[in-house]
Amino acid sequence: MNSNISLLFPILFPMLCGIAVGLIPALKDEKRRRVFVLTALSISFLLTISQILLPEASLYVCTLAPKAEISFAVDAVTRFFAGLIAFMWLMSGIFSFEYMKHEKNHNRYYCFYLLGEGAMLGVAFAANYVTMYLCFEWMTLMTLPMVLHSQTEDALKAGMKYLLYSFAGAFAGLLGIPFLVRFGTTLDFIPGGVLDMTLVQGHETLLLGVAFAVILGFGAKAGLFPLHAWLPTAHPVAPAPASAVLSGVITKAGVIAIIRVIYYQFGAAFLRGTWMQTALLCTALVTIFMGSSMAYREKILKKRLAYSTVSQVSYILFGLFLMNTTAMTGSLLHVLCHSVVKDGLFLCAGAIIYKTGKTDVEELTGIGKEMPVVLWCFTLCALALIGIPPMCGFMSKWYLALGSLSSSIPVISWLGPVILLISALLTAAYLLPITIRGFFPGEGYNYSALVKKEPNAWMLLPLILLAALAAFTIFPQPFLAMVENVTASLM
Amino acid sequence: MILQSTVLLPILAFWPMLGALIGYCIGRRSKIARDRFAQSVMALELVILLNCAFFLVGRGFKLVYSMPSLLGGLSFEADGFRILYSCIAGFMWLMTTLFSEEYLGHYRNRNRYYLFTLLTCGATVGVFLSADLITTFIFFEIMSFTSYVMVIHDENPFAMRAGQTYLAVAVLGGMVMLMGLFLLYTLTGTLVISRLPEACAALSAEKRPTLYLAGTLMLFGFGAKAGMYPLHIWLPKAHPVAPAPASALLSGILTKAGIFGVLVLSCIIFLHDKNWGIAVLSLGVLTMFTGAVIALFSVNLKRTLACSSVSQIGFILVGIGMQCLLGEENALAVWGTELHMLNHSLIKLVLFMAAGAIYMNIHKLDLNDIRGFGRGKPLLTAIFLSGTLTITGIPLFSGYISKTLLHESIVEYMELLEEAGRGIAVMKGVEWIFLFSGGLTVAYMTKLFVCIFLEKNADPALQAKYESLNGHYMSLRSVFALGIPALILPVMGCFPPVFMQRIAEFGQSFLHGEAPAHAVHWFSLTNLKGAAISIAIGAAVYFGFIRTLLLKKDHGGVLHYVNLRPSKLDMENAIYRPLCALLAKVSVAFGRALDITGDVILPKASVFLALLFSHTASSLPDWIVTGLRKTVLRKIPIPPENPEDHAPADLAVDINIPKEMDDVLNDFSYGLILFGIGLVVVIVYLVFHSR
Amino acid sequence: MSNQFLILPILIPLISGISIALLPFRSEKSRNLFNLTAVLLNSFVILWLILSRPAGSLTLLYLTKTLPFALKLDGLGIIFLGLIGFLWPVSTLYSFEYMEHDKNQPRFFSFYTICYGVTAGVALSANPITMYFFYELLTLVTVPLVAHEGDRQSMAAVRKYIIYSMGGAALSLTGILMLLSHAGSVEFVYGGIGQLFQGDSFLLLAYLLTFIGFGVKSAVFPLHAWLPAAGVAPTPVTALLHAVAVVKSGVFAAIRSTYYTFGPDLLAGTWAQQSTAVAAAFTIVFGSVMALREQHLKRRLAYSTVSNLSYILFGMSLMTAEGLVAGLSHMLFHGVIKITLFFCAGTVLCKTGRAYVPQTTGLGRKMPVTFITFLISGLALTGTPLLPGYISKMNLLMSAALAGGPFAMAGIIALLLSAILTAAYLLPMGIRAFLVTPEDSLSFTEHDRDPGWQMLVPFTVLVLTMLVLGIHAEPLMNALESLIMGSV
Repeated sequence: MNSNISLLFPILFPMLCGIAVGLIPALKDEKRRRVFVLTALSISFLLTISQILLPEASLYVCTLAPKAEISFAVDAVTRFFAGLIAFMWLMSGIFSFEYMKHEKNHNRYYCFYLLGEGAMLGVAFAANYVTMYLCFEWMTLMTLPMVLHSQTEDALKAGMKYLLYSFAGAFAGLLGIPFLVRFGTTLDFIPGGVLDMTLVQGHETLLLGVAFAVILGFGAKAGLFPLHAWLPTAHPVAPAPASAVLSGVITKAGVIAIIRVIYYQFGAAFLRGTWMQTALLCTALVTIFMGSSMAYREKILKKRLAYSTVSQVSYILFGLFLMNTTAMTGSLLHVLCHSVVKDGLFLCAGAIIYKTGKTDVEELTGIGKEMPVVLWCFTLCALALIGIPPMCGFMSKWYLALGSLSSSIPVISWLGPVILLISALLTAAYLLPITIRGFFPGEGYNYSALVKKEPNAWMLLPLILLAALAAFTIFPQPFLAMVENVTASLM
Repeated sequence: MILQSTVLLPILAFWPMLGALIGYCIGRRSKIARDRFAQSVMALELVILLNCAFFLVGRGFKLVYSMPSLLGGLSFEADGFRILYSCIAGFMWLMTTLFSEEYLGHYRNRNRYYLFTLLTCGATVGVFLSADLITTFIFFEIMSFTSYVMVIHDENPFAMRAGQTYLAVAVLGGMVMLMGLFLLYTLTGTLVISRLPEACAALSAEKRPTLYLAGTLMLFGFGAKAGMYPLHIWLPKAHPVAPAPASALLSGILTKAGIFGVLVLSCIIFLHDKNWGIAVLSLGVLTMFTGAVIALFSVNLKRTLACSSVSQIGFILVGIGMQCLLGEENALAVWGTELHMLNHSLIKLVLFMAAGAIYMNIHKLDLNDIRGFGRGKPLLTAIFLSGTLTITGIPLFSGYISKTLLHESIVEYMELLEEAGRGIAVMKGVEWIFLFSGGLTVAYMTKLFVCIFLEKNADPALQAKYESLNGHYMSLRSVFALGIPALILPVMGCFPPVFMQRIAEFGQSFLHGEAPAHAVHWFSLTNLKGAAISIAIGAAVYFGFIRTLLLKKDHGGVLHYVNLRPSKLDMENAIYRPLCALLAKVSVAFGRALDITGDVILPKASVFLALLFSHTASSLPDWIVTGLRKTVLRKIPIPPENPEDHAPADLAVDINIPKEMDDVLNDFSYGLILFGIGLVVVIVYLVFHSR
Repeated sequence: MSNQFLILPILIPLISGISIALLPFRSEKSRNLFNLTAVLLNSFVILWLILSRPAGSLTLLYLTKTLPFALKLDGLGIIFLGLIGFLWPVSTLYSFEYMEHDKNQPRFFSFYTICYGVTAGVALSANPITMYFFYELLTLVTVPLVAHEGDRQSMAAVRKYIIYSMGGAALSLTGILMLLSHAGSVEFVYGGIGQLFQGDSFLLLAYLLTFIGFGVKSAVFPLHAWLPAAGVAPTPVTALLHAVAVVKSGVFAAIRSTYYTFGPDLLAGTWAQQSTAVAAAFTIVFGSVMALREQHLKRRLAYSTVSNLSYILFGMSLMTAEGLVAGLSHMLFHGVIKITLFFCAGTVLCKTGRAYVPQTTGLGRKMPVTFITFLISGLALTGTPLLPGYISKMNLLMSAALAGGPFAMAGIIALLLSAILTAAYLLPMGIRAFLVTPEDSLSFTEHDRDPGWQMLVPFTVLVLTMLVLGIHAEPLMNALESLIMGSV
């Protein structure tokens, strides 16, 4: 494990660029700022890719206090998530140049946008519980200004709700540290868990309770049931590229934290087959169903997509809680699928709002005639999310369902796939009408008054790229290989 | 059977799709070029199919191809039945593309129509050639979604509503089938069709019920697409609204893709399984009978043909049911099913295109409006007549052969039951419903034929206009497109051993059918008797029921076809839509309750409780102090405590304190200073004294 | 180095305090200069004492044959002295600008400096009686500071303060006397008399009385009412005394009585320990909830102090060395953080006259430095990593987890709950200050702007210390460890 300083670059570089955009007055001018931010995003993407291609590497930074060291490392989970994070940030960044023309204080937005990326990569690169917790908290603080961006009263309320729910979740996550220090050998992430069984002997229920609280805490960021309420209020308020990143990628911070806690700290062997696993599975299933039914009911497009995030991220958590290889493969595939697709959907919503100002689903009649390319991307992403075969959602649902059926948990093993499919049905019910109403406006639609409102190239590029990526399972080999080396090291 | 891996199979599936995309681009520039290009794509597809059928599979090769890298592993296979049915699909697509050039002459969005029709063709061929159930499911879903666009092509409110039902059933069917696939995969560990028979046979007894559950779920999915009884509601609505060529494809081929799935279930997974056979048989009988009844009552030409499709699918399901029941001696049932599927595809091709020809000219489908259109049009009459005679099972037409085979299989099963000594009452009932439905088919087809080709239109001016069209109501290409299938039917009917028998043997291996014990003599007296009974019933129903009840004299004394079917009987609006609305409401209410707990109750309640608790706790000592002040400390004249103010307003109010308190304050602080000095002096003394 | 010099940290402030009140200074400036030099001198003496570590105790006089009045500098004393030594000069500098146009400044600054010496006396006392003497004197010296405004509210506050403090002191005195009668003259020694009198219920009662007595000054639940009421005093008073000196001496005395007189072995596992743990855990949550409910800024910070003091008491109630170290680390960090918060509140109050939380929306645009400091110290108190609050909170959680048992678990839950509530009552205000909603921007006047250098210097110094403590706390923690464990 060679310790190389270059591990810090992907984390610090975006942060420094963020501060630069925020402070340097020269960057106030539109053109120069666009170039600066674009280069910053692409360089940080390249840096991240270069880091995760290196062989195993770790870096000890400093010690805050006894037992609280700050150290970063590249392992299977980092390789899987870091690249995804950097790529998604690049996509939303490219989209935001055009979108922000209708918004104010651009420099402040890009400053916290880049700082958020640094913190998020910190979560992915973290090598022990304390570093991950540190990056987790600072990521919440850095992304808060994105929610508060429009400074209206409800943006303020949504921001406060976002802050307090995330902090509540983070503090529940903090609960894990003392007990891991007492019962575990170290706070570093070691595949298979760090619990010292001799110490744990009489205290199983206590430790299971603590693990449950920790996972529910980190689940707050991933929109798990008890602490999900901030997601539908915070995401629609933020500007579209920000909510795309919030929904698509920042919810994955919760997923990374939960993977680390289950598989690298408490150990899947300790948690498998316990009452806690069943409780977690029930919570995930409840969230899946609730998210989809609330999305079906919601009339505002971005709020509907936010509720859909609540339900889709719980697909991933459901796979993680099952703790077997197939389910894990399914959930990791769904991480890729959901990030790509949800980013695409939110960016399409952003393009629609930017060009036509329509936020309500009912108003979108005939949008497919005005913006065919945008709605085609929306449709492809929607099909992927529902799980229609050629697109990526199908394969992840396939593995999730098989993982659930092959797990020997009495009721959950068959109830899981049933709820997955009901939720897929509801997903179809709340996404397809938008496409149908868009492409088939009916006879009454006067084609003469049709005005083409296609957004410009800066906006279309990420949309088309994400829509194409939404069918990445057509050639699934490279992605399955990436997932393979994560599951191999864990199970 | 020698396995021959050939890349032709994936080409067959993906070439139409590629052609669709290229056609779309061409279409943006010139319409004619696109039509020609689409026809050539279909022609090429048919040529490759025929080449595979005759030169490869015909010579005993079994074509196989697998693509592990694509979509997690697609694999194709072509044996007798599959390549046969792909050829039929290719043939039908070619004919409909030829006809639709003229039919869609003045339509909008034709680019979109050709794009999605060709995509559906690729998907359907993919379904027929798939080697494992995942590939089947993938192409099945693509077919569902692309055919949806064909259904709602006109975008009028009827089309949108029918499309909505079609999509709902397609997505629901897909999801339920997926659940069935999950269960099957967990049970047998494989989904490859060739390896399923021994995997299912090897299953232990207690796993059998789960297999049945998986089977029922998949039957739900495939049956939905085929138009089986409980899920047939979308078919009578979706097909009439689609353009005629699209309806021909929907009725002719897409329902057969559903039947292909049912065949995989019945002949591969539940081979010779008695209770599965009974289930499929009962569903088949129900479908057959309901389809025939609603066809009888319909007054719209294409709606009657759609309902007749439901009924004919019922016939095919009866055949499949008989295959399972007959077990080893299922040759007759296998041949009957295969041939009836073949016949039905071609019949619906002819009839729907004929209906299209009518609609093309007068844009009307209601029987009262198109009455008498066919008079003086020998070619159209011949074409329509060939379709009618085949579907009603008149001898010398291929329909007679497949219906007789099905009837024979029922009779043979009854003989088997007698040998085994079991009661044949039920099977007798089935046979009578079979014959009665055949009779109803005869009735409604005669109703159509008489109305269009024999009767005169109520309005003489209209009749004159119709007759003025004689001779130039169809282009040469359309005549060619309608004529060929119309010719095939009688030709196959007249020489059964040459065509029918060889086709049946060609496709029977897939259905695990054995050769029949004794040679089938087609035109034997008993077989002819069966056909005669059906025709008799048909005539009776036509003259007894249709002429009397369904024809009313309106005030002008003119006979008028009336729709007696009560609207509330319509299953979709009566049962399915309210049921779905109710389920949606319940799930939304449940979701909302959960969301509120997370969003409102959890934080608000906890904060309220904490505040309530803390308020009482904090005022506890104040109560004690005021209590003390009232009792024990009464004698100290301390002015009442002013409440802690909250509102910022009264900060400004400055109440002055009584005079004497001020002096106390002054003495007190200076007193303290003196005390301080004293202390310092004492400490300094102590430090130096104690040394 | 002989231990006579132990008297200096008490003597210098006393003399300079009195001389400020009596000597006729030409101008306010020169008096402030004299005051600042005196305080800085005293701080350097303290620093010198800490580094040179004089051994043994300096007995000044014998109240009775066996009861010496003595001073001593041991591990615990060093920590408390270090804290007040560092914070007093900063606070004095701050109070110059705050009290600029106040009428009786001499009286204020004299008592302010005398109080420095008395608090040093509490830290240096070698046995319970000496500590009790300075503890009482501290109350008396702070009375005129709390009553400085002289209006009705401050009079009511002073009255409440005197009743609570005197009552508490009386209880603790009885406890100490019960102990002395039982165990003779007792020098402060780590581990106390624990081993000799295992589980003696008489001594447990004595301990409980002393805990309640000292609990008044450290604002444990039923006895906390005086602290928010004392919020009416001028900010330097509330900041220094009520966030650092007075309340910390209460906690300091409680720790002295638990670890250095009665001893953890005597108390561990007994109902006395459980009652202290319950009281502390309850106050943690209670303080935070009341802070959330309070709209007045300084009263909100006062309730926050109530809650944070119980963090330290909870650490103490674990009766383990790690618990004590964690408690002390929180004492230091909380001192630094809370004094910054009070300073920010004070600046806002004296510059713009706004005392209520809703009024500060959008003020951050006008007073950026003040509100950035407020936000950073708010984040620190909430326990965000890279800032000191996180380290003490983590230590407290770890020591509680190591101690184990139902009461420790209750404490952990209380800590986390209080952390969330702290976030709820500090961060929204800090963030709202920077977001100018349209209707608020009109109500700003021209003199709503950042304070002078005398206030900005304390801000920057304190924020820097926070960042350094947050990022690199390991040497400090090891020093704490060695001071306590070494129990020299």
